[in-house]
Amino acid sequence: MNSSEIILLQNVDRPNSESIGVYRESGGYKALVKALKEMKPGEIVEEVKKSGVRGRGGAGFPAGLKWSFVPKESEKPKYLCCNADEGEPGTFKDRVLIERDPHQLIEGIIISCYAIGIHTAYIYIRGEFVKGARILEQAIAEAHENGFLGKNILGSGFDVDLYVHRGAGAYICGEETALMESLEGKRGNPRNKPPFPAVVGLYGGPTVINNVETLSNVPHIVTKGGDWYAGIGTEKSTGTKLFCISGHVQKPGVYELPLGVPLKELIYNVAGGLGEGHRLKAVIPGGSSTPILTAEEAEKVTLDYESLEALGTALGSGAVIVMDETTCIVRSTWRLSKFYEHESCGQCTPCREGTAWMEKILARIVRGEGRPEDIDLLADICDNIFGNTLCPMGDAATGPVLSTVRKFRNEYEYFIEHKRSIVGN
Amino acid sequence: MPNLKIDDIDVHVPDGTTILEAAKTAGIHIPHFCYHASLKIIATCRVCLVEVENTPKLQTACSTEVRDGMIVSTKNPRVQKARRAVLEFLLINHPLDCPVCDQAGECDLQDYVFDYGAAESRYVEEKRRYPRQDIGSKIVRDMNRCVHCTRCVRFCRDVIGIEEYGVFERGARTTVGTYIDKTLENNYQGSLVELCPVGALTSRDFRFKARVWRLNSAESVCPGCSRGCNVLIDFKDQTVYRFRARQNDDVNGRWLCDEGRMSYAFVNDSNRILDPLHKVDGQNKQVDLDDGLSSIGEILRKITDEHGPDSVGGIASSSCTNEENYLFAKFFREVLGSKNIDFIPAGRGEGSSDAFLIQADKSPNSRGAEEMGCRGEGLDVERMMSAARQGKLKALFVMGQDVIDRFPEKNLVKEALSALELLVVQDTNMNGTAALAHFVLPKASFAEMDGTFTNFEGRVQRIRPAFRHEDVLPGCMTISALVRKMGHDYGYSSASDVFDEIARKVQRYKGLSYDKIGNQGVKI
Repeated sequence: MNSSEIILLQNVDRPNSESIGVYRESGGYKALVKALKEMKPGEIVEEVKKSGVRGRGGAGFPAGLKWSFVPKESEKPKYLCCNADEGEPGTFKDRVLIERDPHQLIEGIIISCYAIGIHTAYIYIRGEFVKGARILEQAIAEAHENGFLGKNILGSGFDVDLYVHRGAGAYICGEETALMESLEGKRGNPRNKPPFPAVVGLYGGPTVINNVETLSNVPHIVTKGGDWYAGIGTEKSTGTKLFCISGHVQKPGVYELPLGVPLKELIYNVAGGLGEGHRLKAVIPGGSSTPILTAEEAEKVTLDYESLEALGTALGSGAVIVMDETTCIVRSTWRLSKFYEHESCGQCTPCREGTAWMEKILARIVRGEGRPEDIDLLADICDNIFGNTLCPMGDAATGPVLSTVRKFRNEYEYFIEHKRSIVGN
Repeated sequence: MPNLKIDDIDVHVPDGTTILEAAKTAGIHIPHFCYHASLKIIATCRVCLVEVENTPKLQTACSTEVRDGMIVSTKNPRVQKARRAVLEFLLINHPLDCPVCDQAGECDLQDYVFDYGAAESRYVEEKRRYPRQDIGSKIVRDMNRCVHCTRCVRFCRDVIGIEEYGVFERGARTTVGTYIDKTLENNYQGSLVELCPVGALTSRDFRFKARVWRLNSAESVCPGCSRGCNVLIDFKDQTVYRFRARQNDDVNGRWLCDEGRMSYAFVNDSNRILDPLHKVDGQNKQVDLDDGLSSIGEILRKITDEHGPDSVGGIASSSCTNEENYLFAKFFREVLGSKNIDFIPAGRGEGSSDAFLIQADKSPNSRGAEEMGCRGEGLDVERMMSAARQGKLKALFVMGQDVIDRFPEKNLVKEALSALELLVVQDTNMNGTAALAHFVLPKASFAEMDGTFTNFEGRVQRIRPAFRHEDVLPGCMTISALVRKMGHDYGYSSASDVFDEIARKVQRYKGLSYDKIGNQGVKI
């Protein structure tokens, strides 16, 4: 890996990296100047399309394509929402971008607004990120003072207002339509689609919702061009990705690597490998909802959208959770199922009832009261939830359960038969 | 107009139609809880999932609009599994207390599980139990039965625009209720009960009174105010158990106010007049209707012969049907030759009203009474009272109206009524005026007769009998019999005959008939 591939994290270790001065010293806001003075909005959209950058929030939808769904002319105001509701267990990359390089994000937002013809943008930030929200408020104020936000930005005649909105503590508000409901001051329930946000979104206006990491890439794509970006990574997974590696590794943290890097490289080299004398058991590759990988699969796979998809899982948010042989798969699955049970918004039947049912079964197994038929029952409940819910949360909740039932069935059988975990106690 | 196939049936429906509504036109019922034709579509219950060819995921029929060439399956194994799954999810925490649940028999959950669900439960965990919450005096909430469809919440928020019912908590703990320490206060709570597809919301008035499958229904009109909301009278034997709203988009949509919903109560009251009474020496004695009418006819004839036609008067009612009022007025004008006919609009300007359904005039037929000629050119009610006190008015026939109740100076009215040589009261229930009458005649209530009401907008609507009491006739049939006693014969054998005459004689009603009015009414 060479240092030129560090794009998003290039400033984060500088002292006072959150200040506009430090950001500008390292070339910050030059992309905005270029965009406003030298480029037409459509050209920026084209560059972003060319870059191939895919949504970094987890779904991996091509960002440029998403932008192109927004109608050019609209009777209602158009909006941009930056999704900073980073809540997927194992994910902590946006937090670094927000706290350590807020201006990179803000610059990305302003350029994106210009590209799509938007004059009002919101950063919907996870409620717990108090520090991040304060830093963003400060950075927005600085950007205003420097003429990068507000009316007639840099004399271009283009206006953007940017607001920070703190969430109130619900995972589901990271789902784009729930986010908009919450932003509108309502209960954060996902909306039924269609209509899609690009057509009818926030306050009924066409709306683009992009993840923090996605938007933070935009200034770099504008500066160096879509082709440059597309040259990094693989053909279908372009650019770099922030990976948040946690669990049983020596150096957990956020690392920026080109897409397509072997998972092995991340675990053993970048994150320092597992603890002394421990061996890999399983990896959740892209946040807690992505189906688990066995050690064998993890040793072979590369970190890109297509390779993980081929294994029936996903790159997701880039949250890699590493588990060594001491991990009880049944217990860890129970813990994750508790999370989903707790976070289901409750409006749609399979998710509301199914997540709670699965949690109860897993809790019973962990209490030593499991029945052999519970394993197939869990799999069938997953099948009954999957694809049948209003938003992706239902599918997400089945990820850890169904994949562990399939790949670590022996651990369930052991727990049920012996009333204790296969890893002891 | 897209053409599509649903379960191999060709369907041709307008653009924008949902699969669920399109299927309905082909006679295919797709189960649904959260969907309701009058509420915002939210697609959350997921029981209406169907398969659309070339679409990977199952789609909610309630929210998916049809496209030309679409091929939909509502019954294939994949759809059946998803449907069974949703029903299982809804049942795992359901108390299964159908034997003691009022909704049993008209419960969508019960019906769907019977049609599509599994016979045995796979759920061995403890069921969820919600704490009790008293949500007010009109309806009872049992959250354990709730399927979280939020029809109730959407009705309050989107239809009547009152934010007093909401969704709280989340996930499997999601509850639907009132805000902290608040009770429901809106005037349409009965509609929440009707909207609730299960027994989570039940009516305090109807609770535990009857099994719904033992009830019959009659199409009628609410007598509670001049809106004339369309209702179904649910009854058994000679008792009304409840009103349910009957859809009429020109009048009440699918809704009914709570006051109107309770306006059936007098029909069941123990003070109903079911036998003709004749007061002899201050004591009411039961008489044969025939004999009673003969006596009334003789006395009326004697009074008009001795004192002239202006010595008699009649008070009709805005609660009586057009047929009753029409014949009442005709009797006075043609048989007795008196123009002393009037009626008192019930509660006009006194009652509460709103911008949705509730009208201030708390009677169903003020407009009809006016149009049937019940405002004569002679004495009005107040002048009739003074004339009676002065001894000029000798006889008064009151139909369907407690006159004393309508005046603040009750003693003066009592004095006037007591001075009469003949007071005949025909009414449904005993009241202050009837207590003073020489003759009391029973009258069928709205639930016991055919007839029409004309609402405040001039919509003529039919009421139909749910049941009858022996010898308790509609006012028009009693008058018709009385007329015969007095030597005339109008030849009416039913309210319909009277209406046909109205349709010939009353300009605005020209050409109408019961058939034309049908069950949705006709605006004149």
